[in-house]
Amino acid sequence: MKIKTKLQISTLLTLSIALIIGLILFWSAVNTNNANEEGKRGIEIVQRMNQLQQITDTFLNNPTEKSELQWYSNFNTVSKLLSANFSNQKSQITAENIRQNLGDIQTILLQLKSDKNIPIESTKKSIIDKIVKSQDMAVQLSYSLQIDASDYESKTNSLILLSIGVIIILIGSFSFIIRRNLAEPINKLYEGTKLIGAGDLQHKINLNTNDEIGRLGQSFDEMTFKLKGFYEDLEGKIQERTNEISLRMKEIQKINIKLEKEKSQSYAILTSLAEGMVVINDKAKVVFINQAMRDILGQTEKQLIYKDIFDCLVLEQENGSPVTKEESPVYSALKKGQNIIDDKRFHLLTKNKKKIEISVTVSAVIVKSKITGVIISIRDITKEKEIQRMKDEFLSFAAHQLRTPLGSMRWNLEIMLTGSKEKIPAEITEKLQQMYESNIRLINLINELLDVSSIDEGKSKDFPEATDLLKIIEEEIKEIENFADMRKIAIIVNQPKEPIPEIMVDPKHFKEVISNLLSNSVKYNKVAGQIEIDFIIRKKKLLLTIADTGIGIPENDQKLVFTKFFRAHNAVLQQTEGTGLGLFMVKFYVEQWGAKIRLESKENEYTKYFLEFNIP
Amino acid sequence: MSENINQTQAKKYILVMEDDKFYGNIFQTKLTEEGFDVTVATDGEKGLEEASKRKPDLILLDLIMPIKDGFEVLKFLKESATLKDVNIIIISNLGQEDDVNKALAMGAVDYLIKANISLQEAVDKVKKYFNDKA
Repeated sequence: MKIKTKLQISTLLTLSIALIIGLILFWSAVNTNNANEEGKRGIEIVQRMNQLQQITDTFLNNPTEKSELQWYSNFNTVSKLLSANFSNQKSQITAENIRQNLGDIQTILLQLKSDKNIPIESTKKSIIDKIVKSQDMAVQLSYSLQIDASDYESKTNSLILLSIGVIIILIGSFSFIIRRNLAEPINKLYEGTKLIGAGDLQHKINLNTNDEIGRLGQSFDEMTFKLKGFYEDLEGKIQERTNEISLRMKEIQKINIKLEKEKSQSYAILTSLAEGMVVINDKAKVVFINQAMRDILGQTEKQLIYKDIFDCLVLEQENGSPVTKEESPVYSALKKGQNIIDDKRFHLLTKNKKKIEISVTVSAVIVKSKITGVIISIRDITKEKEIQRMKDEFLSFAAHQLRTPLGSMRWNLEIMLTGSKEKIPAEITEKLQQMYESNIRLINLINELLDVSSIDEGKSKDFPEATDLLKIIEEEIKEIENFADMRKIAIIVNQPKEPIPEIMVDPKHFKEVISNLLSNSVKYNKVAGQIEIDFIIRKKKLLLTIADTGIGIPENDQKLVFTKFFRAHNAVLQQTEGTGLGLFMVKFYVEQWGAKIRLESKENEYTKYFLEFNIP
Repeated sequence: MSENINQTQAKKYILVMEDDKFYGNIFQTKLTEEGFDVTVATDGEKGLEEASKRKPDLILLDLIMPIKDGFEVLKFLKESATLKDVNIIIISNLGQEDDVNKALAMGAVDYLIKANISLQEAVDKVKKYFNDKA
């Protein structure tokens, strides 16, 4: 039941009870009042009866008109008083009796006036008796009326007391209801919310009443329960997060320690490094410079730190012209984030005008895709270059010294073999031919070794130009024709219908490539075998294939044939001489042009080289 | 063929600067056989002397030579007012790309690595040079 309904019912009940009590009290008060009125009338009746008795006495002793009038007047008043209604039936009868007596007296008095024969004395006596009797009765009436009045009064008093009692009980029960239904639960709710507010989420209000406050309490409990769950969940999450953070913190601490260690290590390394090392910030100002670098520049740390790097590091081209700021590798690293390794193009100009051959390595320090500085490492390569020059000179000289006798042998043998056949016997000619071939092989070996050494040194310079490949191939076929004829090998070139576009290659190197591939195809072919050269033009590619009918390359060796000094097993068996450098160089040159080389082969059947060039 | 040249015009004069006796002899023999007038000088200085005595139609120049090496001779010739237009073919066993490029840059018209070609090829190059010119 709703509190409103409860209150309404209680109020209604209280009001009706109060109304009933009021009505009862009102009725009782009216009755009391009547009884009092009647009491007063009784007293008046007694007084008037006494007067009437005196007047009767006077009139009987001296019957004057005046006394007669007085008597009647009194008689009328008493009769009137007596004829009024009395609430008490007994009193009503008594009053009736008195009126009867008085009526009798009047009748007797009237008889006395008109009939002189009536014995006066006895009549007088009877009148007086009747008066006295009436008087007694009046006293009796008055008395009983008094008693009635006092009865009513005490009844009313009791009623009032009763009403007060009832009202007190009503108020009591009303306040009990209010306390029970409102104050107590509200207080409980208040205490509960205070506890919950203070953080005691275990507390339950437990209002089991089926009204608004009850529901409020239940809602509150529910809310507290949810809050508790939420709180626990939150606490769990906070705990989890806290654990995570502390773990992360530990990691960070570890990293910090590691970083600190690394930092000091790096610092030590940088400081003690034999190479010159400069670190600049994003504004090109020197922030670190090691001892080696200070030595190279011939300046102190004070003179260099926080100075513009382009003022400290003055570079010159190899030909002596100055290097502008934009041309400097430091600039490329600082502005474009380019890392340049081992740049040997420049000379360093020191403060005392000394020129030093250097190798520069720059690497941009990029933090969050922003260039925050550059690490510049500088190496004095004067000695290195000197050694390189000596090495080059030695190689060149050695080659020269070896080639000179071999070359003159070659030409002399050539003269002997071609010029004067008649003079030399056939068996000696054969020997001379063998000598000639060995001599050529020796020269080729020297040339290949020189080529590989220049490739290894990174000195092999490739100058690609638009080249007619077919022309060079035809030239090389001519070169090898004699050798091929000796082995009865036919060389077939299948020309495509469309013209072969010119390809960007270094003609000298392409010549070597073709020479190598063709000589392999002749050397390792079967006697009376065949070499077929094809061109295929596909989209922007030119595919050149050279296929022989030779001993082939064992499958296991195929991957290795392009590596330095490698020779396939069956090749070694057939032809003991050979450097294993040819295909290494071929691959190197071909890749310099952005072209590709691969081979297909089946042992004892064929080898086919595929060269794929980009058409410009 | 040699008679052909003799008949049509005066013998072409080829100055060979070569310190190696074998090569010197071969050039002398072979080129004379081919109908050229040939002088062989065994070092750079002698070669320049010969060149100044009689202006050659072609100089075959070795690079590694005593007293004055081929590069010095080349430089001198190219700076000389009278001899700067004489064509020079390098005949050397130096074969590094640097050397080849250097010589060509200095004004040599060709560079032959002796050991890498046959004598006939060398002679053909010389003959071809004159034929092309004619």
